[in-house]
Amino acid sequence: MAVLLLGSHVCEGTENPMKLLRISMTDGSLQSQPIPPQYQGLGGRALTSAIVAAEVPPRCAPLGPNNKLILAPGLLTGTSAACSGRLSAGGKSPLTGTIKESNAGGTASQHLARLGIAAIVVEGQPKNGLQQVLHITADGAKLTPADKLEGQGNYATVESLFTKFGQKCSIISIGQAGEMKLATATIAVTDPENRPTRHCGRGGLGAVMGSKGLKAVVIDAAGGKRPESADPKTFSEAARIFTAELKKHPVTSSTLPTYGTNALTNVINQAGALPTRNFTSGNFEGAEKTSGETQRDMILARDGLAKHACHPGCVIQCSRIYNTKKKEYLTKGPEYETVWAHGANCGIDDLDTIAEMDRLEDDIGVDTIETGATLAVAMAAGLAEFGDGKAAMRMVNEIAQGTPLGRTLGSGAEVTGKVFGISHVPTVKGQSMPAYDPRAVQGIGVTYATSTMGADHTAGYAVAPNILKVGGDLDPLKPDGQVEASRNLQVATAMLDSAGLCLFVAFCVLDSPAAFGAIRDMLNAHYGWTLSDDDLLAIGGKTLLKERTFNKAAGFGPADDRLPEFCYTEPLPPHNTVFQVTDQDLDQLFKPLEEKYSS
Amino acid sequence: MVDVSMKVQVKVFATLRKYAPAESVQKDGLELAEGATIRQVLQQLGVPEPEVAFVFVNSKRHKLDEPLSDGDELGIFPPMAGG
Repeated sequence: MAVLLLGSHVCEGTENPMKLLRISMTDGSLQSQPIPPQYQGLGGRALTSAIVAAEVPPRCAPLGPNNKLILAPGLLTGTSAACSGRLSAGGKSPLTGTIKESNAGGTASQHLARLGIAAIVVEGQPKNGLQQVLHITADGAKLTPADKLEGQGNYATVESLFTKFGQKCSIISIGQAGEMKLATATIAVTDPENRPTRHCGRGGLGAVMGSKGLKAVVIDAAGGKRPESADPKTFSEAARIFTAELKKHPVTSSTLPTYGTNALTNVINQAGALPTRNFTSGNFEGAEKTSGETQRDMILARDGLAKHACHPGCVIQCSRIYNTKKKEYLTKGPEYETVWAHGANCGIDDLDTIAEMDRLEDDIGVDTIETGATLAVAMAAGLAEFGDGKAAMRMVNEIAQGTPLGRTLGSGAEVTGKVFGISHVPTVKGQSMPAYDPRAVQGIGVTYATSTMGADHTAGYAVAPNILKVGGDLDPLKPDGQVEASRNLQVATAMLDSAGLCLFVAFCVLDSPAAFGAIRDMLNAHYGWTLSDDDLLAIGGKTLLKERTFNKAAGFGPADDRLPEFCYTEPLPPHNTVFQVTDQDLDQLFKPLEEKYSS
Repeated sequence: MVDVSMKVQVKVFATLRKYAPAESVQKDGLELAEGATIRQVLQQLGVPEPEVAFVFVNSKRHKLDEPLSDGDELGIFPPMAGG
C-alpha cells in the first residue's frame, strides 16, 4: 500500500503551484511532482493531450501498459468562474486508436482543483489484473484493493464508497464495461446528489481505466482550498461579467434551463436532420413524443427536477432529474444525444424506455451515443425490429452480463457491423456519429470527418451556425463556408475544453464579445498572464495540432478524415441530399492552423 | 379582401407553445389568403416577432417575409440549443 503526502509546493513567479499526481499501477508507487515546464500554462484538454502526446507511444496498444490515463481539471476549475467544473479524461482510445479527450461535469474536477492537483497520471499495468481504489485527501493518496466492488455497476460502486469514505467525497468510477475493457466503456463522475450520472462518455477511456486495474478514484477535498488568483479583484469582476452574460443570452438563460439538451429533438427533426433508424431518414414520426417539451411535462408531473446543475457553480442548469411513473428517481436527463440514439435512431418513441436504458448504461458504464448507434446497427442486422424497446433493453443487459453478444455490442457500432455483415455503419475513425445527419447538416459532417477524436459533435459544433443561427448563419445543405466554420469552432472548443468550461457557454460566447473577453480576463487575472484574444485561441489551436501529430504517428492520414461511404452515395430524405464537402476542402482544414501555430 | 385560398400546417415549439393554435387548427391547418407570408402567420397566432429565432417551412429555414404555398408545413422556434 503506497502512501503519498501531497505537501506544499511554493509558488514562484507565474509558475502554477498545482501538481501532477503520478500513479504506477505496475508497482503501486505514487509520486507528486510540480508541473514540469513543458506542461506549464496548460489545463483540461490542453494538458491531457500534451501529456499523451509527449509520454504515450502513438502506436502503443490502448489497453496495454504503455498507454496512460490522464484525469485533469481545467484551467479555471475550482475558481468562482461559472460553469467551470469539467473534468477532462485523456489517453489513447481503444475505440478509435486516436488520441482522446472526453470530458464530463459532476463534482470531481472541482475537488481535484481544491486539492491542488492539476492532473492524475495513471501509468503502467498490474500483473495480477486486480482492481484497486485510489483514495485522495488533503493528507495524501493511497491505493487499496477494490475487493467486493469488482463486477459491480457504477451505482452500487459509488454507494459502497460513499458509505465507506463519507458523503462529501466525489467519485470517479467504472462499471462492468470498464472492467471488461470494452471499447465503449465510460468513466463516470458523481453529481451533486452523489449519483454516477455524468460520464466521460466517448472513446472508451473507461476501458483504459479498467486495463490499469483502477475501479474508482475517491476524492475528499476536506482541508483543501479554492485556488488563489494572482489578481483576485480583477478575477471577480471578470467572473461577474461572465455570469451576467450567460444569464442574459436567451439560450443559456432560458432554453437550456427550461427544456434541457433535449430541446433539440423537435428542432433537428424539423430541420430534416434527425438520424432515424440507423441513419436512413432525417425525420422521425415519434419526435414530438420524445421531445424536450414532452420530457419537461413528464418530469414536472412526476415531481422530478426540470432544472438541475450537474456541478456546483453552473448557472445554465441544463441537467434534469427523471422519475418513474411512481415518482421515484430513475436517472438524469436523459440528454438529447441519449434520447436520439435510443429513440429516433432505434425507432423507439417511448421516453420511459429510453430513460431506463440511460440508467442501465450509466450503471454498466457505456457511452449512450455509441450504444444507441450500435443497437440501431444490430436492428439493421435483424437482431431486433426497429422500435422494439424490450429487445433493445435485453441487448443492453447482455453487455452487463458480458455474453459474447454483449461484448460484441459493447465494442461499438463498427465492430457490431463487421460481426453481423452490415455495411451501413455510421462511424468515423471507429466512433459513431451522433445526433445530426451530416447529409442535412454539412458543417457538422466536416467536424465528424476531421476531428482528432473521430465522429464527435462536441469537437466543433457547426450545428449552431447551420441550424440554430448562433455564431453565424450558413445553409446546412450546402458546402459553402463549412470548412472554415468547423475549423474556427474546433479551435474555440479545444480552448474551452482546456479552461474546464462547459461547452454550452459557447452558445453565449459565440454571440457575445463580452463573454469571450471575460474568459480571457479570468485566465489572465487568475494566473497573472497577459493573453490577447489570439493567445487565448492559440491554446485551442496548438492543442489540436498536438493531437493531429499524435494521430499521424499512430498511422492516421487524410483517408481517415472521411465520412462513411453511404453519406456520399445514399441521399437522405426529406432533403434527398448527400454530403458535398470535397475531400480536397476537408484536407485543407488544418492547413491555416499549421501555418499559424507550428513552432 | 381576404380570400381563404390555402391552408398550412403550423407547429410552435418550446417557449412559444403558449401561442399554439386551437386543436382544430392544428388538425385541419391554418387558413390563409393566397401569397400570405410567415410574418402574417405569426400575426394571426399572436406570436411576437422578437420571440422568434427561426422558422422551418418543409424542413428548410425561411425568412419571415417569404410567401407560403398551400400545404406548407411550418415549425416556429424561439432561440434554441442543446447537444
